[in-house]
Amino acid sequence: MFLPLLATIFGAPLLQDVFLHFLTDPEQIRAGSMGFAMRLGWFCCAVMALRSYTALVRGPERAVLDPHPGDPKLLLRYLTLRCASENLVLLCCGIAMLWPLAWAGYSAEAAVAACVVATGWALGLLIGFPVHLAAVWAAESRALSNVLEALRGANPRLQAALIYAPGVVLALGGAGVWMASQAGLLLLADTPSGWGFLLGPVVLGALAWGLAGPLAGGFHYKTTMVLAEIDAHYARLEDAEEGKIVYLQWMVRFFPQSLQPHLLKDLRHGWRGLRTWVLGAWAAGVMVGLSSVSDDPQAFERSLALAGAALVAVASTGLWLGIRDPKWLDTSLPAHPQERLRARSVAVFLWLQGVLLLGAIGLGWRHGSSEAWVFLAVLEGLAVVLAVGASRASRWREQGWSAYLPGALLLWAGCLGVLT
Amino acid sequence: MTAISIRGLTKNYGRVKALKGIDLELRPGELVALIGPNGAGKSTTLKLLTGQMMPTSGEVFVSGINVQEQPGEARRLIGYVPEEPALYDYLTAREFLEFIASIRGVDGVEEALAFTELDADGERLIREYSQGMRRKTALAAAILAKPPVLVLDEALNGLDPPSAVRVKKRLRELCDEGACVLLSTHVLDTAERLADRVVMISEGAVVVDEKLDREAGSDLEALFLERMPRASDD
Repeated sequence: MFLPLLATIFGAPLLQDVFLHFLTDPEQIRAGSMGFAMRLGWFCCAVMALRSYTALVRGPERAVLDPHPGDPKLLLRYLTLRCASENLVLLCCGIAMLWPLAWAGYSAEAAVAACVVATGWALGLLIGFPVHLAAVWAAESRALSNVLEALRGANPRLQAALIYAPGVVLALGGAGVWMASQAGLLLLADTPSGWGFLLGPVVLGALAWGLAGPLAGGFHYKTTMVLAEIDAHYARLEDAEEGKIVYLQWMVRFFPQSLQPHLLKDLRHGWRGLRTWVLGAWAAGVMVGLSSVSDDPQAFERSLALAGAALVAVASTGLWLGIRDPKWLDTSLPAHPQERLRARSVAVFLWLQGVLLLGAIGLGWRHGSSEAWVFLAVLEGLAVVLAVGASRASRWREQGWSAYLPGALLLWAGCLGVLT
Repeated sequence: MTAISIRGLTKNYGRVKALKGIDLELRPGELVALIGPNGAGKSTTLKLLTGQMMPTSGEVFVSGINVQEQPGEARRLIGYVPEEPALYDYLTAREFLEFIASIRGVDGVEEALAFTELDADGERLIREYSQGMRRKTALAAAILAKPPVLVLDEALNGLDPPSAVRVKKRLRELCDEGACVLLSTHVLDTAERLADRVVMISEGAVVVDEKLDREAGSDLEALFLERMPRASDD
């Protein structure tokens, strides 16, 4: 918990020019701080929406406890408390992002902004559990089957309800965070009614969580059935031949013979086991590209910030590869550990290109080649360091997170701080 | 009342018909072996029976409770040992059983440890256990609440021979006390020695449902080869 918090405390001043640029204009402090707090609150709400989904729907508890059903309401309370305690670091980091505001002498603004961030975190948690349980009801509901059929896209109908549930949490929680930020403006203008608006969303969130108990009684155990149906649907879509194709496999021939077997193993492992991350690099690249296609003078900084964050996230595939490696590789086949780690760095670096290429094209098209080259030069350097760092940290398996995450966040913040 | 009642159970995975209409009635006190080749539909049947999957059609009742409509209530009546049990690796077997006992509101940890003969290793972390000991821990957890129905999915695999003998003996004792045990296994010998009745599934359908005469001895292997087209082809 302390390492991400320390990384945020040291990184926040480096990110000041991107996120807290309003500090230079006293006229903009209130609106700027509430706007920043609102975005941080939305981010915390989105993360908690996903974390509550994982805790309740896809968490490890389900497999262990399903054969031994206890009281689902008690289980819900436990999962809520555990989700809250495990993600307390997110709230602390969100609030720590505001310390430059307090340091600059705007402590009242910082305190109110912290309340807005906490509102987002709390709403993601409190609304998340009832909404995810209600999604199971919606998945089974005949009345909603036509709606889900229309919304499901390529997914099975049952999955559609679960896919959209975090979005519903974010929409409801986002509205609450917006309300809290408006309440913050009222409070900073010495309007006491702001307290009511600030506390209102959290009270509504707590009431929503109260609905989760009865919903858990009806739907916690049905969730397992819904998940089994969804998994079975995807299992039969999997084409055995398609699964053998490995993204970037053709690249292996360009690398030294000693790296090739390890590189191919990691590419196969990543493509089959971490495909969401690997393809997510290109999705992040599209977002970076779109953010760079703008005449806004902030577009360069924004693209850098977004691409850097995406690099930090996607490079964590290096760690996941280490965590998922069978332990006997270390004990029974300890040969060539350096080649293994070098090959892993190469695999991760190749996957990171998805983030960078589209952003560079967007910047080059709209802002000229010089900005695109600066973008590429800096972020390719960051990609190399992150790929090597994540791969080296993967030696320590789960403990590698403690080394990788704070280091990567500080590097990202440092790059932004230096360049902006 | 029957312990387990399966009526017209079908399960389709897209075009693949995993179960093609299974009907079974299991009574309290019966020990029934469910056998069949890989992919025959045994695990699907057990998952539907334990409320982990929705049937395409048909119904499953456990002690009169519809599993699909009330999965939580039905599961409280079932002790289930999955083929690959998920356990908390950083608890000892005793701590794990105490935790399960507390959430189910029952006692009997010592009895369950004795049943599976884990007493001596009860203080070791589960992560240090062999596959067989993990299965024994899952079995101990499954019998803690003394459920009227026990469903074991390949639960005797990985047990060393002395443990397997003792567990089989204890399972028989449970049946004699009125529990219904449904045991899925690949091992014909286990089914032959242990079960009162054998149900063979092949290609999603029940092809044999017969009582076994353990005293007189039954030639289950011959029956298996006769009724299982794939096995006899091999």
